[in-house]
Amino acid sequence: MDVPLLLTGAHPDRTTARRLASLGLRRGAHVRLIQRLASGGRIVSVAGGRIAVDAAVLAELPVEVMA
Amino acid sequence: MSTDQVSRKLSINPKAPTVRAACCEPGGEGVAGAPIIALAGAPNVGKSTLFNALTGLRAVTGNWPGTTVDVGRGAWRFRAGDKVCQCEECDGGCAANTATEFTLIDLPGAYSLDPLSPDEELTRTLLLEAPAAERPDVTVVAVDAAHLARSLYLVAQVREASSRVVVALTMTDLARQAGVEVDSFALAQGLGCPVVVVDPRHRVGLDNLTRAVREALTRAVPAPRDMPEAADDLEREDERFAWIADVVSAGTARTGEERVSRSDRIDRVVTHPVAGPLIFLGVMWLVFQVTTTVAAPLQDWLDTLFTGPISDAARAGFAAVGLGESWVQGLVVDGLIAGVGMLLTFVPLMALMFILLAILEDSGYMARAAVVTDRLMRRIGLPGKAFLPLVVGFGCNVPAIAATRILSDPRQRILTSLLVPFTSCTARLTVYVMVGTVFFGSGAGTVVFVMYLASIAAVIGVGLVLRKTLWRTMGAEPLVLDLPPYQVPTARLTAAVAWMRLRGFLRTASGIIVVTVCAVWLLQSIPTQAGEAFGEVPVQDSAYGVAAQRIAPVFEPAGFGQWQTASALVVGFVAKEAVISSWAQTYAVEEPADGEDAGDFGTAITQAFEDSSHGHPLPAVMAFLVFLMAYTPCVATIAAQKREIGWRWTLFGVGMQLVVAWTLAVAVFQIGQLWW
Repeated sequence: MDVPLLLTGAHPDRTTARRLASLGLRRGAHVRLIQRLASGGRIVSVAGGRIAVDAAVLAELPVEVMA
Repeated sequence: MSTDQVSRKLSINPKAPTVRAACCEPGGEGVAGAPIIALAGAPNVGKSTLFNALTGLRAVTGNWPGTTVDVGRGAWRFRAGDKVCQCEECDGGCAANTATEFTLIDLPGAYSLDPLSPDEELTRTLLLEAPAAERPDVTVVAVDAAHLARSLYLVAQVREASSRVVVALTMTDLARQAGVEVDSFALAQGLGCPVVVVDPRHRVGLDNLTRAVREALTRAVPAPRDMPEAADDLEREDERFAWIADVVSAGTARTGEERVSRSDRIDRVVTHPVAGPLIFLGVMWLVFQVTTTVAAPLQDWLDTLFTGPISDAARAGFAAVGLGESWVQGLVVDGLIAGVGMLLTFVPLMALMFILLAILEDSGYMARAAVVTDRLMRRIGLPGKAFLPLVVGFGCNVPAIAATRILSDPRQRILTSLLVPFTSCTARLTVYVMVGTVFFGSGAGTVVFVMYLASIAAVIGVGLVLRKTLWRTMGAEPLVLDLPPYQVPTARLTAAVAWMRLRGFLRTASGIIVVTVCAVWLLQSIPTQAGEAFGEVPVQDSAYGVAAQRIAPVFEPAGFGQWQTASALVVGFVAKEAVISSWAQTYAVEEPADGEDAGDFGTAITQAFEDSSHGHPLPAVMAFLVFLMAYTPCVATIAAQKREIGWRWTLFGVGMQLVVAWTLAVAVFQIGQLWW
């Protein structure tokens, strides 16, 4: 939680990937997970915005921890 | 502003007729009507608020994604005053100079023109796929300065077509709070179109936006944005994002480090795994309390006003002109005045409901509520925010149906509207208490509790069945939800939204409610025996009583096949509040004051259930209560459903409720009589 992450790829499902990209969650985006949700999902901080994303979607997103 | 200036759904023709091009454009045709301006933008950038500010119309607005579900249309009026077109050809007489009105079309919110939803598809159709002659003269794209990069994707795509574009930059105050300063001039240069800073919530910058659109009309339609050849969609997307990154880089400056915002601090509590659901339940309890207890005195006052002074005055008036106790008096007092009175008793309830909804939406909390309850509601194919109308339904089904508007997906609205009638409203509670007390004495409290559990079970059960039959794919979409920053709701916006929704309810519901109340009066006035006069007939001899006698056998398998009981259920179709009084009327006894002192009425219905159930009154009573819980709540709910989901689904819902109610009632009686 609250660690700077780099999105290194897209979600494998094309529709979900587009939806995420439209909200700024695309390859190369710098993100932080800032809040754990009851459902297991997280609130993701990206480009000044806050997006609630469920755990299943997050599990499919490749990230690297930024130095 | 006349109502026909608002065209809803896709059936609008945005170009009928209009200015085709500015006077300076080669081949321009001159003015043939008000220029058409389309208002586009991603969800939650203040687009509908801007639409309302520009037109004075009341489009649906809210601080959560997907508020605009149809196309709104309104007149954007302004004072021309100055010349924006200085060319010699037109001599100042072109549309840009002389027009004092634009036709503004409020397009559904769309992050992009790659349609992922019907809303986005509609926006794409109107902006890109319509023939050039039918596209808007200018497209105003609302862009959120606080989330600039993602708001500009739509601008990038709109700029790829030949069209005049003006960017309305909103939320600059929030961007500043987040440490981002936007240079609108640099941004305009990068985007290749005018950028105007606006604050529609406080009506700031609207004149500048008007002028920018007028000036845009004087210019020829610009060429599309230059784009390198792209191998595929992915490469094209990358190019757009790279272009956006360049524009944002040139047009913004970071004035400080990104820090934890006020919204983040609130979210740490409001969306917390433990505190979040508790806060949500607290908010729901507050909504429930306000819409039931606060509205109740006002409802009682209106009810007393209509059944007392107004009805008495009308009776006195008829008596004075020699029409006392006539059918004309019956029609006016028991039909029209009773119907209008019933409609107006809903006004305080609905007004409070709409005000609370507007506050929850405008503040940004509704999006959090959707997140907190998402997992639970997803099991019956609904998103988290569907929880709100279902909770409100336990107070009154009518505002609950209206509250389904918080759902942007039409299928979710339909499913929730079909489930709301199974939530047990307070009007049904009065019957539970009365019947429970007569038959179960001190165990009445347990009976009421069981009825509420049965109501919840019915919502879940019917929801699961509908999901597995009609909407199998619903609920399969993952949770990916934009959370807007919290903001303090403005009184003006809250009042405007609440009034717009209340007005819509009154327009739709008034006719249905008044006509139904009059129809019941008419049936109770028509004699079926010779020698009885119209309007002066005992209930059992009226067309209404005879119809109840015909219907009654249907309930024999459920153990309550007496015509008086059936008659009470028919009245309950109009309003559950009237069940006890009309039921007592069929036995020609006084309406009981309360359950503990049910008097002759208690004796009458005890005997009736004893007879109709052939010695098994308790299961028959439970079956009756289950039927009462599950069948159509009232005519006002039907009117509200008709407004939200149309006649087809409303009638489907009524049929489904009757089938479910009858099936459950028969099952309860048939199984129950094995033990009792």
